[in-house]
Amino acid sequence: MLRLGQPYREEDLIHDCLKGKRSGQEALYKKYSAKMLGICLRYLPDRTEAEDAMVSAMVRIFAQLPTFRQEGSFEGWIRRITVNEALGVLRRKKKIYFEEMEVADRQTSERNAETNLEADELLKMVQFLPTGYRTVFNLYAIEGYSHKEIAEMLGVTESTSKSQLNRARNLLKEMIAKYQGVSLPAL
Amino acid sequence: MEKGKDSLDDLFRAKLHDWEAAPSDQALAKFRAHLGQQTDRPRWGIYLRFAAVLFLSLTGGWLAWQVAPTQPQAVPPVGQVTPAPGLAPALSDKAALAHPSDFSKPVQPNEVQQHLVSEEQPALAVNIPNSTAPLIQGQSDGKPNVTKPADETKAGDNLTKAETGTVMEKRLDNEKPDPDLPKLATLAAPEQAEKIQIIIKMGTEASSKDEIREEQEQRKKSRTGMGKFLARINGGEDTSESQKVEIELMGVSKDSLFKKKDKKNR
Repeated sequence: MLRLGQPYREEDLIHDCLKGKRSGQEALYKKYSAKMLGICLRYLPDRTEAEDAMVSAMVRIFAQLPTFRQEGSFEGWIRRITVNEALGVLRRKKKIYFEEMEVADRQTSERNAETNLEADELLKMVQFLPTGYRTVFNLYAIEGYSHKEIAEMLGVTESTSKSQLNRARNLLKEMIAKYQGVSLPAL
Repeated sequence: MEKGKDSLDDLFRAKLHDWEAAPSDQALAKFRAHLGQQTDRPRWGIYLRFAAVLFLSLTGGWLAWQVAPTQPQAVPPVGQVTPAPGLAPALSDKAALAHPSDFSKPVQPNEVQQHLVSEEQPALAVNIPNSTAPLIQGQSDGKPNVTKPADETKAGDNLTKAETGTVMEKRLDNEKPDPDLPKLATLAAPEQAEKIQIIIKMGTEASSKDEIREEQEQRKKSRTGMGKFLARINGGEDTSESQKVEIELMGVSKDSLFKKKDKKNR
């Protein structure tokens, strides 16, 4: 039920969307579209592709809403659908390939980790990663999936997922060091 | 090492996990377009259901109308239609005329169709006083105001020529000439008065059935060569009676005219 001057309650939002009310659907879009687009932009650097994936994910959410059990987090359910939609775009365009780059596994200092980098700058670093590195890093480091889950989602082995994650981390460390002008200590 | 990795992961997770990016207006338009497609489908479904229900109801009603047990009327087959009693001779005449054999032999001008010549036409001669009486009475604006009697409209609608003739003869037996007619004749102009007097005479003379028949027999006997000639010209139809009536109506003496021509023909 839409209350003027008050935000939509999540239960009412779901209820109205299930009834197919246009107001509930638009309220859901306004509430979650920015967050969903942030997820899509981590997987798909191109903004147009990311927006298309976000809209497709939103439509899929409306379609699969009757299957949603209100036991877990609605936002977590939305995130999973959005991630799967982004991975589906990558799969359809065959953009997932796992490069083998010679990146030195360097020890990063605590100082580097505590750098005051903005989210936009970190996002650019993630977007700069190769697709395989970026996808595994996003799934493992940010989304919290295990290597087993990542292997199942991407159709690769767990060792491939681990190696891709390790190389992604090393590359990001180099990027952060270059960005801060700090020379990384040689191993 | 693991601590450094965790710190890197925590850095990116903390900054990017809940990071939001405002979608453009194009994305909103695409979203609304998707919604419109989704909402249009049920509407079309509703329209289609309504149309289907309407079609089925109409079809069902039509079928119910067709199947419903109406009172079966004994309708004879097309070839065995029995016409109404008054129309039976007319239909039989039409059927006879419609037969191809009737058209195979065209009527020649010099042939006299005996069934037409010998046919009696009493109704034509008898009708004169009855038809003229109301015509004169209602002639106020130059147009005849002929009104059929109620008995005539009832009795003569479904009758054949022969039956109408008999009906008219019976009516003549019962009817008497209007006593006001001589007064009207005296009030009219001299020329019209002569015509009216002739008509009145004919009406009075033809008031009895026997007199009419005798007159017809006399007319048949006195049918001259002129009548036969006119019958031949008219394709065998003897129209001498009607011509005589017209001549009588015009006030010309019939005997003198035909006698002179008969002499010439002889």
